Amino acid sequence: MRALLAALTLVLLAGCGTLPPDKPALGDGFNDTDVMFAQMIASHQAIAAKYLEVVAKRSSSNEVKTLAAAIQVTEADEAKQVKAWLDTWQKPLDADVRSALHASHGGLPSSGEAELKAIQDASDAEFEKTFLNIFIGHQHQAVEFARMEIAAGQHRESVSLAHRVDKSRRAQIEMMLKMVA
Amino acid sequence: MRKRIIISALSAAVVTAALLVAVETPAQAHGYISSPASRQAMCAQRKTSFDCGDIVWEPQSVEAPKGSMACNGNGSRFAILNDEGRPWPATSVGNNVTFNWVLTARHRTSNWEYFVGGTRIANFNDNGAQPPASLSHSVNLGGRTGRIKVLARWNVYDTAMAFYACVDLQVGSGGPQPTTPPPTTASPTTQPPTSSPPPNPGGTWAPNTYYAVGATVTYGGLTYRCRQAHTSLPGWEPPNVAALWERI
Repeated sequence: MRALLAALTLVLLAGCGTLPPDKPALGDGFNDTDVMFAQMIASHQAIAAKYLEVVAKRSSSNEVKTLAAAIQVTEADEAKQVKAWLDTWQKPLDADVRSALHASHGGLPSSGEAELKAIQDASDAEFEKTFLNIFIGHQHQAVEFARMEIAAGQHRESVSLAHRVDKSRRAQIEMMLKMVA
Repeated sequence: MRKRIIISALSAAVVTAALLVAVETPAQAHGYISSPASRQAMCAQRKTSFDCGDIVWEPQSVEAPKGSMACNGNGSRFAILNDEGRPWPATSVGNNVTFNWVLTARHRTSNWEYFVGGTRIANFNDNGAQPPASLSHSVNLGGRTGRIKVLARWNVYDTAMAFYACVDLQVGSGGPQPTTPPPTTASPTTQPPTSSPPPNPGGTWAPNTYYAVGATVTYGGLTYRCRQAHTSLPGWEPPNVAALWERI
């Protein structure tokens, strides 16, 4: 009995020793982080697509319009890709995860509705400034969850996508900060 | 009733998972002043002549306990923001300045404070409300002229924390001026007007370059044709973005 307890303790200690978990080995399998990342990419793209449609209609800046149009088509492809993964994994296209993540660090769930309304309601003079400040914030969120996936994801292709999301969003932020300056 | 319990349990599980994940990731969310560019915004645009360190990746994360007068809030990170020996670029402005914020999480807010030196020059009380999706404050600099440093503090309502941002300004003596930075600071990576032809037809793909529809480039030994006009970015290499480039 004592030996059993000692063995159990050892197992438990060993278990504890793995916290925080090491970065998982990359492969064809997937874990909860991969699922959450895919869900976030999909829901984040759906929100962005609405903002970007307004830009296509209203912006008077070629620079802003060109960037918005390129983001629209590249993010649509990314969303298609992650939806295919979720389908393969038999996981829902669930957006509640995003709200829960925001709740966990003191923010309120960001459906994007308030942001969309602010962009729609902006005057012509304030339009680019309003869109850019909101969209810079939106892309900072993408960087945050790409970093989450890079740190803890297991699915090789998802982690590879996360690296591209991290790089491209940071470059977009840099470009948009220059536009808004 | 039963369904509700299941949903609650599920939500708890999701929140727990999110918390576990959050522990491993860099600081989450929040906000900073984008224009006139705060020190962290200058760093994120790479408009400084020196290396800013980690702040370039997360300008929104300058979070520290309330009450500090330091540009990094006396937090454990981003001490470079306090370094007055660095040549921080300043933005030319008039006496009335509109400070625009980027928010990545709209925390309930006590108030927003603006200081010059030890003097508080503006205070906006939100009384615990959530800030709007698009936030800016109009601040009167009180006739100060020349180079000044404005410290902004965003005091979160339900935590002991605040977000800090310092903004370097060159205040003109005349009336209000546009808050655009001097054009000399524009980096060579700025895109040309969208009407100009591709600068390097048939050349090797490069980031921060404007490509019109039909432009061809080589990348990794293969040739691609541009399908959608854009300024190229790291992460948008031709084989990674079929929406922008087709292989020919």
